[in-house]
Amino acid sequence: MKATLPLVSLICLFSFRGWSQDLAFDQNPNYKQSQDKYMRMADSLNRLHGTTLQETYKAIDYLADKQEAREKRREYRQQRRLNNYYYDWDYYNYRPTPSRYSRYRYWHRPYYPYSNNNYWGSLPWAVTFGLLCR
Amino acid sequence: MRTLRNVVGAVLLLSITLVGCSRKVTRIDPSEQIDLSGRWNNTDSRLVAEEMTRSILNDDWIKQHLQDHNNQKPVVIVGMVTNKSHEHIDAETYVKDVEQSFLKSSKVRLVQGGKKREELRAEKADQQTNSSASTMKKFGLENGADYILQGNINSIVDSQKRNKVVYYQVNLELTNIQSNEVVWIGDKKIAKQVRN
Repeated sequence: MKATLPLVSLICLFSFRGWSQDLAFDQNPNYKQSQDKYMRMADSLNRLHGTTLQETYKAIDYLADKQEAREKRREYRQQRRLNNYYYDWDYYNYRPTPSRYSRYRYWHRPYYPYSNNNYWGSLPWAVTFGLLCR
Repeated sequence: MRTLRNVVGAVLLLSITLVGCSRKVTRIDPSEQIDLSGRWNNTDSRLVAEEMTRSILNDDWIKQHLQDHNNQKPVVIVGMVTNKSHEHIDAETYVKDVEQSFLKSSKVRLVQGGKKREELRAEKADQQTNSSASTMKKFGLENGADYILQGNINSIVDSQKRNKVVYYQVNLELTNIQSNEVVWIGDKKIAKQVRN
């Protein structure tokens, strides 16, 4: 028993030594700190392999800005129509008054809520029928 | 006679209107250059792919690697490309061409990365329990990459009222994973003038 104890200790010592990684030539002995840090975040970064990270910016472009402003105005008007914007406020007489989008504003005429009041789209049809009926 | 003339005129006018309003689709060659809006298009991607492929396969880094590693071919993994331009651009349209050129040239080996690699590992995991012992694939035998291919896309826009000049710079770089050394940088510059 007394003879085997130092032998067992020596065996244990060498086996523990084998568990630690031997440093490669010129390797920093503090590599473990970096390794532990990046082992934790490796999966989240490696998932992005082969992908394109979009970090775009908005360029100054006169025409594109104009187009965007036009579309915003259209959207604003559409939202106003959808919100049943029937009444304005008459500040002079202190009472509600039908707005320009209201069906009650032109009560004497038929109500076309989305009409642009032009008929250019029907011109070819009109000419065709006109020629047929002559 | 007059009526016939009117009918023919009406039919002609109607047919012109209908034909003019119908949609026409024509198949074209992917290498044909057609610039419509002035934004990034397939021609730009093709030019970048051609330049990067030519540069990466003819550079000295392959020769250096073969010398340093006993004639073993380099192994590359594709990393992330960052788009810092003003438009949405997907780099995969030209990076995939570069990957394909690696395999066709047989000078460089490629390993899978990203979500596809996770899918492979998931399949391997499934095989541990469901496949036969002789056909089951083992963990821990993947080829480690020697180099990682990363890149970025930048742009500069100069516009004045209806005129615009757009400049793109696409960079790809190859880095040694062990030593962090950048062994190759490829770039392609594209400039376009757009007049409205």
